[in-house]
Amino acid sequence: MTKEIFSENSEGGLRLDPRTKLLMLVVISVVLTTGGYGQMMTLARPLLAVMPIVLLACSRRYSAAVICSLTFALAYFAEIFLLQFVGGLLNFILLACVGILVRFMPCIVMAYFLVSTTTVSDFMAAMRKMHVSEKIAIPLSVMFRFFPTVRDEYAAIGDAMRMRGISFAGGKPLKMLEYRVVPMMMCSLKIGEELSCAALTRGLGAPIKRTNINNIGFHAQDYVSILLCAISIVAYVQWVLVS
Amino acid sequence: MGNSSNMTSSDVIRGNGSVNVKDNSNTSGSESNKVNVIDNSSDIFNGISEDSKVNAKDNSGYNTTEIAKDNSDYNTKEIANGNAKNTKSGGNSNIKSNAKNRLKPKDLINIGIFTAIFFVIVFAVSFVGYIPIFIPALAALCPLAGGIPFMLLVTKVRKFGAMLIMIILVGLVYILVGGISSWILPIGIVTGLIAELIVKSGGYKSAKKAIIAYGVWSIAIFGNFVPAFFTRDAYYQVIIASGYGQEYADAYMSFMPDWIAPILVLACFVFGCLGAIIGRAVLKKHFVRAGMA
Repeated sequence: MTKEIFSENSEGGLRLDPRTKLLMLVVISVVLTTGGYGQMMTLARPLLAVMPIVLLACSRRYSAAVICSLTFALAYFAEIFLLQFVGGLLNFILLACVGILVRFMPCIVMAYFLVSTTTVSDFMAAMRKMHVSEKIAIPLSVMFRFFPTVRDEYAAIGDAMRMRGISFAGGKPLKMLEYRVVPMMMCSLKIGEELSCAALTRGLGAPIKRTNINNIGFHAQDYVSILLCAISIVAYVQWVLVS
Repeated sequence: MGNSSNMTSSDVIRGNGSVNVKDNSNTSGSESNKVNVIDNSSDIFNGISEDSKVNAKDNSGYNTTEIAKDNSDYNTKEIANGNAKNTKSGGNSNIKSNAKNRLKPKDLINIGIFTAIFFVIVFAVSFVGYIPIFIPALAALCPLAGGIPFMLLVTKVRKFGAMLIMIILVGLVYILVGGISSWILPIGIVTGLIAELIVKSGGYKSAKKAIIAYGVWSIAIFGNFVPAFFTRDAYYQVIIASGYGQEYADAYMSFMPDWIAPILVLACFVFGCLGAIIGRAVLKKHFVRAGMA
């Protein structure tokens, strides 16, 4: 938790403006989940799918990048070649797996990249520059920070439950919900209290304007990313108009 | 009881909240305490929480009140059941505090956390929708599953705006990583506002109104299905063109005839209420007993 909640970009690597990352996330999710194939989209889709993986590699998260690229390549292959040969129920099941992977994985990888390489103060600085109200910005940044925590805590709770012989096999599903969700929320409450203490010491909620030492701004790498996003948007718009 | 509460809240403003809160629970609290905890379990929305009571008068000076508020907050938690008692005695300042209950950073953080949990649960559930026959069932499953975090949030943050911000965040995240369901945000703003007004009319105390509010609130989930009904042909094309395949699109449309739309809205509401009832039961069973809600 500590590493991801307070992740610093001190390990070096590529440094993007949070606004660029947000733009890329939106573009990737809209184009990949609602867009189809054909014409320029055949170019734009792989471009967008590969982009978050390249970004992961550039920010020195090599293992994550390798895992993601392998999974994605496999799913893409299955979608293009395998789906034509199966029908009926098997098709649905395969489609479910492949569809999730092909459509959502780039988004999820991008979201992971956004969360793991953006510090809270970077994010808040970006939000301020975009003139987003604090009432939205604070919960939003907490939420993005909290997704990795949910995963970690859930794994820990799962371990504890298994140790006591409580698992999905043979259990009642409603009971399972209770055994998983309730401890989850108990520790979330604790974490929330700690977070608000930390926030208070940093002057969050003070009636004065907070300053921010984070120096965010657009650089060459941002312009390149924005250009790629623009190309994809053009491809998407063209596809929408044609179909 | 009412007198002592007034003393406490004004003393908290002076900055020695911790001492007073402790005193209060020791003297006037101890026996009514136990009664209250048991009583409270029938109504988790009993009274207003410690922060908002302090809130009533806290626009005087930022620093002292903020610290005082926090002290008192943590002390009541340590006393464990002091919270339940204070909520009861806070009834007086209740009406006054409604006028001036801004959301504090702590509340905003809680909103963020519970939205994250809500979203994780609902996102996990909605993967069921890849099997076409379960698509209409999502209108029931999503509100049902999200009841627990929602009810806990509503119990923790009894101020105007919590539900609204939560649904805005959910809508934003759906746009960010969902792409398809950009309708949740506009619908959610409307239903979220209505839900806020419902809870507000109960003074943030009534459990029944919170349950109904969650039902109304979760009608926003219907935003997922809006394109299927209102732009049916275009959506059919989108499904096919985006690679889900002809079979999936046909199945999707056959399970989503036009007449099902009002049923889905109703299902969102009914199962939302049901989810809230489950959430409240879980809250009573675990969180109230542990002094955390």
